[in-house]
Amino acid sequence: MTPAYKSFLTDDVKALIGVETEWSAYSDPISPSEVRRFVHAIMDDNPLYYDEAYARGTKYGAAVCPPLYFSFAFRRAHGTPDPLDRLKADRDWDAYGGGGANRQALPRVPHGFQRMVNGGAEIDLYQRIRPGKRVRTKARYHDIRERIGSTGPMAIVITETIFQDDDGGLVARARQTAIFR
Amino acid sequence: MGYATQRYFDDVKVGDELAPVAKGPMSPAHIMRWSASSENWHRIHYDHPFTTGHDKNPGLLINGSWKQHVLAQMLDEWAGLEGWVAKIAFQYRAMNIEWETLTAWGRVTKLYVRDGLGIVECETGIRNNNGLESTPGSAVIVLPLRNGKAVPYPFPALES
Repeated sequence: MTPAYKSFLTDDVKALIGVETEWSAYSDPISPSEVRRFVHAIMDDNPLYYDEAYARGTKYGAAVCPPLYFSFAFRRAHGTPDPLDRLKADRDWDAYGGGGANRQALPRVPHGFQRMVNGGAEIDLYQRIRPGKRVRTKARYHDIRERIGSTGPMAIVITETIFQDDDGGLVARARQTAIFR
Repeated sequence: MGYATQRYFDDVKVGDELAPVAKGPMSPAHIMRWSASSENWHRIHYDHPFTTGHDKNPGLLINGSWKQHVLAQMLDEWAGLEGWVAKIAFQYRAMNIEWETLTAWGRVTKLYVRDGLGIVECETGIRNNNGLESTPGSAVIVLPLRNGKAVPYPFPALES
């Protein structure tokens, strides 16, 4: 018989709600070519993303990135360990997180579950980031919940991240739901 | 694509459909192009034996992180250059895999004016070519009134 499930949601875990990171380091300046590759991949051929003459005549005054680009500005820095090295010893690793994005991490929630599913997001938008700008983030645990579903127990972790550009302007606030089971 | 003629709040009715945006069929190359552009090396998006064998998925998964941009494009084009997409919310409820065509859709659910600006609430989603809804959600778009003030940019937080 399997041992009874023991809730992970202890007082210590509940105390993580509201815990926040310091500001991350700034991303590299967003390069027009990075935006070009991104725009090709999302297949949104809006001239606002590359036609400076067109963009000058808009409220933005210059070419901007697509609405949700801000969270894709973080890339693994030069000279950092290669996360994919893990595949040398563990060929079953799914390489999730293998991009090694340069963001501040919150302390791990000790829920003990192995599989993570991206549950979705709720995003408030304040302005567009644009090439040449840098972005930084601050994250906090907005909520940590437990649910017993038909497939068994799961942990629902909602992280709120604010994104700021290097002029101090608030770009967006995103609440992302991760489901662990 | 870009923007059509500016839409004003005065011309919008509850029940109006937003112009849908369709992408696809999404080949493995399209899915890989997103993974490469976003430096996301999660193998379920490009390693077929891994995603079907190890993770028991039905195929190469189209990234949720990609799907959100189809919603954003639809909302932004409908808002127009003088409007503003203030909030986008969605849940990832179902998997989409290679060769599906995905269509973002939206419908106006509520309209009101606050501080001289038109607030448009919508329900949204993404359907595949078999009609499966994978990404139900909602959005808030701010539109100018025809004889009203401009929607401010940067846009201040909406009170909730």
